[in-house]
Amino acid sequence: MKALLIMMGVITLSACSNLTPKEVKPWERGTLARDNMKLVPDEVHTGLDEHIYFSKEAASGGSGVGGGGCGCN
Amino acid sequence: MQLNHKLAMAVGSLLAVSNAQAEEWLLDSAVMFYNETDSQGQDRVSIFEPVVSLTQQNTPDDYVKLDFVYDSLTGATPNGANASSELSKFPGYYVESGYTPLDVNFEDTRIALNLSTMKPIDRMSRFTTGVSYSTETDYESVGGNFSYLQDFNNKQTTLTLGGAYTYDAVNPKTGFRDPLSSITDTSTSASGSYESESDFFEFAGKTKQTVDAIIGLSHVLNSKSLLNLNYGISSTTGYMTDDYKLISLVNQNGIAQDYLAEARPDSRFRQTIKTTMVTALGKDSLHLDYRYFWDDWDVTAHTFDVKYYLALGEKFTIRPHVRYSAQSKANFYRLSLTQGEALPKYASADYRLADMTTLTLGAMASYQLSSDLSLSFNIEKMQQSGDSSPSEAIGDQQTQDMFPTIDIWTYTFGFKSKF
Repeated sequence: MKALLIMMGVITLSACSNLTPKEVKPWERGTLARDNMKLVPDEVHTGLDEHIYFSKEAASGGSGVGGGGCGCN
Repeated sequence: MQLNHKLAMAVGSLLAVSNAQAEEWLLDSAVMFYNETDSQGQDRVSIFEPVVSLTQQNTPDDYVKLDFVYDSLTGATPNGANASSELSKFPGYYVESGYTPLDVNFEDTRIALNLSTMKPIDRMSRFTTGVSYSTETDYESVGGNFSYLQDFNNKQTTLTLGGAYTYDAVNPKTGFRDPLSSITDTSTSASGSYESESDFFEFAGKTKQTVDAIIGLSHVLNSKSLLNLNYGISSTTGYMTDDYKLISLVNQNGIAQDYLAEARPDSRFRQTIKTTMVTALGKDSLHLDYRYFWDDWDVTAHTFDVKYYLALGEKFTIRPHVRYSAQSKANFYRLSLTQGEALPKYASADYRLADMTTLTLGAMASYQLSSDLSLSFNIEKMQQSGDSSPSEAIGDQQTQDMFPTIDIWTYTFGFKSKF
């Protein structure tokens, strides 16, 4: 548990140090172009998860428009 | 001559790259197995759900995509009535004392299709448009959507404006019941003051219409991080009552004397604010989401979602996932109604409209078999908890579990390919 907390602390600190705004040139976008930097890297998995949340909770939406209706909610 | 040769090679490889990008087919597919149980040991719903998404892509801003979803649901789902120390009888089935009543006749199949496309307008703007259709034995839905994306600030900032329209029709197997009528009353109603009947679909159902709009701002903060902020509204008018859901009518001792059909308002206005941050940590990435939801049914919900993409070498990725959502109840949510009280206009005992928290823990592993083929496996455990002993429980209800914890396990196998 302690190790997990330390790990989460390190990740949070590293993430915070990444938040300084800076102009980004086209040739500096290599990291941003990675698959794991997309807003939704695993579309099909995320779509399945979102459909479960939609059908099992009162709240929904927020990510965009589109998708089919469902009698589950 | 040597220079010419090098130039020819360079042009040739550029053409090869642009040809490779000119047309590419992407297949993203998965099969999900879903299993739901509760803390009383009752098996609830099982779902088998294959999904196939096929994209023909020229560039990331220029594609056509077709999604196909098949959903097969079987099992038992709460009918809304309370657990009781007495045997509970419903049309076609009964429930032993001490158990939350589940409707054991739950079975459905859903097929959904989405066709969407993105096209560039110029170097700094593009649009997406899509149509969707889904059908179930008792439900049908058709919709369309459009969004416009405009880049600013050397493409470091993108504004998204989007809208969608959905038209749904429902025709429950039980027929339509009059709002808050007894289920022993066999006369069912096919019309109401506010419901219009569908003439668009094959079956005559009651309809609802939803209009969604979203405004989003996405900003590249630096070479390692990006932020996204969305504000969305969604307005639904029409028939939203779930005719499979009941509400117990109890006496002063909390014992059900009858079960009534639920009744929901015929309009709902939802709003959401969602922020997302994605940041790179070496070869890994961290995704943080927070969504605030509120609506005019007085539901509010805070949802946090954290995903960490841990790159283990070039081919293997592990993605732990934690999601937490806490919602407040709808203003017409009732545990039960009591004999002698004036019936409210709207009432539902659907636990999904109650005060509730949902905790999801998951992990996904994905492996890149080759440059154009990858496999993934995702396992998630979702737990929904509410108040087992709410203050409004009376008499016998106080001796029963009014909100058994729900455990959901999902196992998803994914397959991704380019060709």
